[in-house]
Amino acid sequence: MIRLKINGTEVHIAEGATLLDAAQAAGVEIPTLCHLKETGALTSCMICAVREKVSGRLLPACAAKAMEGMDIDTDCEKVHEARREILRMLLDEHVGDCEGPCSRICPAGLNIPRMLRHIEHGESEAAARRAKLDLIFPATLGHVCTAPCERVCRRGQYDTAIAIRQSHRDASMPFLKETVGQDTRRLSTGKSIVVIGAGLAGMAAAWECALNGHACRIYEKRDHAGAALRALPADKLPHTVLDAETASVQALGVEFVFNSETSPATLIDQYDAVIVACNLAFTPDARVFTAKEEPLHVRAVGSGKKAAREANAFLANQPAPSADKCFNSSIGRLQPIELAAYAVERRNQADKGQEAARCLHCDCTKPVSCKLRLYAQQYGLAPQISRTMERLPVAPIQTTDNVLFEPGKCIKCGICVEIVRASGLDAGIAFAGRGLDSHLQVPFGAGLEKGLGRVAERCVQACPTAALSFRNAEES
Amino acid sequence: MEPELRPEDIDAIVARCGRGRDAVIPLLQAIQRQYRWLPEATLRRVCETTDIAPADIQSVATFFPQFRFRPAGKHTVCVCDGTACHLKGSETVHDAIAKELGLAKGEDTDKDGTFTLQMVRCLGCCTLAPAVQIDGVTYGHVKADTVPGMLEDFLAQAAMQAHLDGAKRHAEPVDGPEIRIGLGSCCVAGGSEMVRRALEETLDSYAIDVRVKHVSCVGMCHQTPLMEIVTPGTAVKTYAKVRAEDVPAIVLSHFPPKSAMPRLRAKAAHWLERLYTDDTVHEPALDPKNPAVAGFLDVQNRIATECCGEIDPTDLAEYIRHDGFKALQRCLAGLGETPQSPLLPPAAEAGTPLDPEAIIAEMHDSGLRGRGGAGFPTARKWREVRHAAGETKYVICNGDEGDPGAFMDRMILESYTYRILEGMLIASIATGAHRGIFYIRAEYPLAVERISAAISKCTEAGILGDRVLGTRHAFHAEVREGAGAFVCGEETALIASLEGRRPTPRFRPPFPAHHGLYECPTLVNNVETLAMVPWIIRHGAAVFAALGTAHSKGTKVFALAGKIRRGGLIEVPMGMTVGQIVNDVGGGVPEGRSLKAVQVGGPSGGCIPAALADLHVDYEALAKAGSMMGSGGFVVMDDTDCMVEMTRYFLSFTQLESCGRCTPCRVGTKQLLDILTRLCEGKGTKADLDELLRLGAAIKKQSLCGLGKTAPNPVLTGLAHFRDEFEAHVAGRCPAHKCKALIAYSITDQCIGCTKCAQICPADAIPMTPYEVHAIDQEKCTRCNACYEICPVNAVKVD
Repeated sequence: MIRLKINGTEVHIAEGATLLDAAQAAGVEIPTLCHLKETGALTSCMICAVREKVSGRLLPACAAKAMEGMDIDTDCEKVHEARREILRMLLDEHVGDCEGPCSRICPAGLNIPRMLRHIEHGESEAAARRAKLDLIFPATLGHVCTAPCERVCRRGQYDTAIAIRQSHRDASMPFLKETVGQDTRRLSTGKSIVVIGAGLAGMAAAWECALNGHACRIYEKRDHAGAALRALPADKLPHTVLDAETASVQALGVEFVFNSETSPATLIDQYDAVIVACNLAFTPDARVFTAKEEPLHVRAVGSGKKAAREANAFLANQPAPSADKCFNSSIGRLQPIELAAYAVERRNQADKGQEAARCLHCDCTKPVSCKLRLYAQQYGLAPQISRTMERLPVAPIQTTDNVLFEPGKCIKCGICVEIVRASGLDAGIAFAGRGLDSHLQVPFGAGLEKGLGRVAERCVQACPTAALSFRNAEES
Repeated sequence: MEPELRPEDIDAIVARCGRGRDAVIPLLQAIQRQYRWLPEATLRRVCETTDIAPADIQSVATFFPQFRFRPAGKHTVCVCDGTACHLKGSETVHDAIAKELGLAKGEDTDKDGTFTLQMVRCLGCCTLAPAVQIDGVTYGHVKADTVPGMLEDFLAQAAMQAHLDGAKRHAEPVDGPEIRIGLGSCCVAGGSEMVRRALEETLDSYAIDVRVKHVSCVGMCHQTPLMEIVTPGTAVKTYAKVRAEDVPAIVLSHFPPKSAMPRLRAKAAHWLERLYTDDTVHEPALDPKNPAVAGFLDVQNRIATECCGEIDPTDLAEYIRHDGFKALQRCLAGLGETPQSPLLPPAAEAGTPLDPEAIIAEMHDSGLRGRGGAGFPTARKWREVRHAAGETKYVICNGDEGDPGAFMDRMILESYTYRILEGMLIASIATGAHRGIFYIRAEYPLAVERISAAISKCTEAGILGDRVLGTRHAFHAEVREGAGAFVCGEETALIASLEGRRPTPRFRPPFPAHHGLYECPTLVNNVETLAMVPWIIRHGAAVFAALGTAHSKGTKVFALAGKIRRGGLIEVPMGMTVGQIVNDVGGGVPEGRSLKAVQVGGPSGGCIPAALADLHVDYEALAKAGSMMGSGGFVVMDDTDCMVEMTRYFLSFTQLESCGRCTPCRVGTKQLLDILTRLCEGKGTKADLDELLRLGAAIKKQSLCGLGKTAPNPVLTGLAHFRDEFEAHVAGRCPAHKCKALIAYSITDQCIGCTKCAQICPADAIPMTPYEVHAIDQEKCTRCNACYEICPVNAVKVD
């Protein structure tokens, strides 16, 4: 038996065990990317750095053996900074989008690629549900939105953008009178929130608060909801559409009080929180949150959602949510030559003339299980990394019937290479090149199918990023 | 014509090289030698007929840039971009050759498939910088305007097939007069082969009987080719920079022809020659008392390079006459047996027997540390291997010298073959190993050839084999050629490549001493370390330990190159100051320039500024200054060299050589390089300098192997000692006028309209306007400096 200290606690472990084994035995978590029990230490990612206190050296926990009398720190600032440095490097090398450019720019955060996949697969209710939960007013916005998403659509840089606005309009119109999304409403919290202003921002905030289980009331000085939208001619926005989506907010239990001018100061003592969703001056108070009515309607919805998130966090005694909700890697602008390769590789071969099927699916297929994103979040990296080195060129995607290989997302850990080798596969995917140019390749151009063989599924599951993924993206 | 691909040719190669996974590199090398590239069909055939899987062949073959996957021209032109060559304008040479061959951007082979152009990392001819190697032939001091001549010369030579096929004179008398010619790679590149041919001709036509001896490197590479005349009773006379046409005059002045007729003929010829050439005989004899020569030679202390320039590296008998294998005899005797050989003097004369423990104790007392760079105590390594469990053990001589700007291992391998072999044999006795491998870069063909020859001669002589000198100790040695990856100098990567795996280092421990080649205990020692061993055994540990500093004993061989008057291979005691090496040994920087910095330890070493010239060179002091001993490259820079550009150059090397296994080295070195490139292009910011420091520290601390751990050294020392230059680049200035984006060339009114610049410009940026003042098209100008160098009236201005 070997005795050593991990974060000050003495640990006993069998001889030959690694520091990672010792830490796991002691219930201490150490992040790993290239580690897999069956493949042994590959010492590639180096994120599992721990600090030996006596020498001050950083050791890869996956490979360094536990030695008698060691004093190991796994959680100090130096270790964290070392791990952050590794993450910054890996993300600088990463050529991939966590979210599609369209979703990223949408102020209301509609998961556009996912909605389009539902449409493509004929899952009309799922598509409507996605649109409703993200946009709250998908049909209204489907009429009036200026569609910033379509301006950044990569397909648009290639030929013509996907008609995204029309897609969410078409997806939601058949379900206007249904209670889509209302089933996600949580149990009552017993808390109450009041919203001032029944424009899109105010109603969006109210919808979100109500979904979270808070009792909710809206005060509006006018005699109708939807503010200036109601003044639009019917050919721009039929009143029935706005009315139906306003009704869905009411259906969630939100009470509308019209013709009533009020102020936070008069309401604050009767409610647990106030959301001001109109141009109203008030004295700052921790219990008062603001949403902004904006000329760009989708931004108003986004602003309402944000105010609701802040209010919800406040009521749940949680810290204020950060501005960007999640770490996001992005490829950025594609060079014309890259764009062609990118679009051709990703273009749905059987696009059946259907608009949604034209989507290139720029979003990540593993937005949740990607360990790189997870750790980036956990170690507090800025949501958008600024690149130190020039972005590497976009490499063409490779596919089998159900597996995608995106070389730009590979961290060169070699886990799949080892799995394939152990399986005794004849072709076998393997490294080629060296240094920054190291990449996975199937010998003699045999193709991914042969390269991964019968262990393809195992490789996808073991891949720490979305370099290897199933064709069907996971739910985010 | 491409040679036809025939399966039976591949099968023959397989039969020669073997079918195991460890034959991958030899197989690939053999195929490439045959086809000049690796056609896919040949690799498929190899996979079909051997145990090598497609994945293995792909991952190894694509790792080494030496291997080509597209057809190559008949001849390969390798432009050396080692540190010394880079300093002296290798890029300009490269561009000039590309222009001469009419290569478009991205192409490397000319239209008729005659030449393929490559940039390579260090041919190890740093004193001839910039150097170009075409197939086996090396050209030194190449300039843009000598490129056409060089290619013509090569084709003429190739047509004559006149490489090294002349009959060699080997007379036996030991005490008689002899003429020595240096035939190390530098000397050959300097033209010694031409001199040798002229010498043979002269001796034949005048019927002069004198022994001609090809000797090892003298180390005075700045004076090549060298010829020495040794006549009993008189001082040795050395001629430097000998030209073929000088040979008759030199020979005749020492050895007048014996019979009257030839003498008359000689006189007449001499007279005629003078009459017709109108040139006084060029006779650059070097006087050993000349302070410059004395300075170069006297302060040196020869241990690894003992008998330098005196003995023929291929002559076994001569090595034995110079106390060769005496140390081996003592060590074999220590095993309790009497070594016997008709070639050697009786073992009793060699000294008291040393058993393995005593050998290791001797190494310990000598204080010898590994000369490969890290300076690990040799005795400790030997002891580890000796006591490691395992029947089979290996000794590997690490001759994968990959540092640009270092060539001492090549020189030692070429010049002191038997000594290294003896060192390896002694190590095998001390550690209990019975197999040895010389791992030598394929870029060093002469070293490979000589070591292979020495192995066969020693096997014939019973010095290698099942019974070494008749004792029970068995030892077999072989040569394996590296395929040109810097990282293979790292011992775990070296071992991986020998096993036919992708040569990426692994985490240590376990060390190769316990888990090495094929998981067996393995001793990996550097060439120079092994060369020291026989000397230490013969002279005793105390004599060795008396040299040097407290923790760094003995001597160190350096490859002195760059902006220095007398470059070459030098061996000096540890602890000599940087200034002494530069000024006393190297004669200082060339006229009119001042010393700026010295780069010690290769691209992963650090720059030591002129202000630290008093630094005593030893392991600890160098490490403290942010540099390292490395393998011993010693490149001198003067005030015309830009430190930012040099740092960028060093990083471009390590970045390309990174194996790519661990994140900090794979990505971090590229991040450093991109920042440095931005600085050189005038696009850097002040924040970039801080990021360099932060990244540098992280890469140093978090990389897996020595390559990554030392890669940031040039950046960190550069910023520590030359921060003002980095800041100048942020401000858009390059004080040394080196960074192309920050300078502009123009032609002043002093121009005489000679069109030389217009002819040489590789970018056609100067219109051909005879007798008019020329002008440079700034759009086309690549700032290669060729016009500046060629202008006869200094009319080219750099701002």
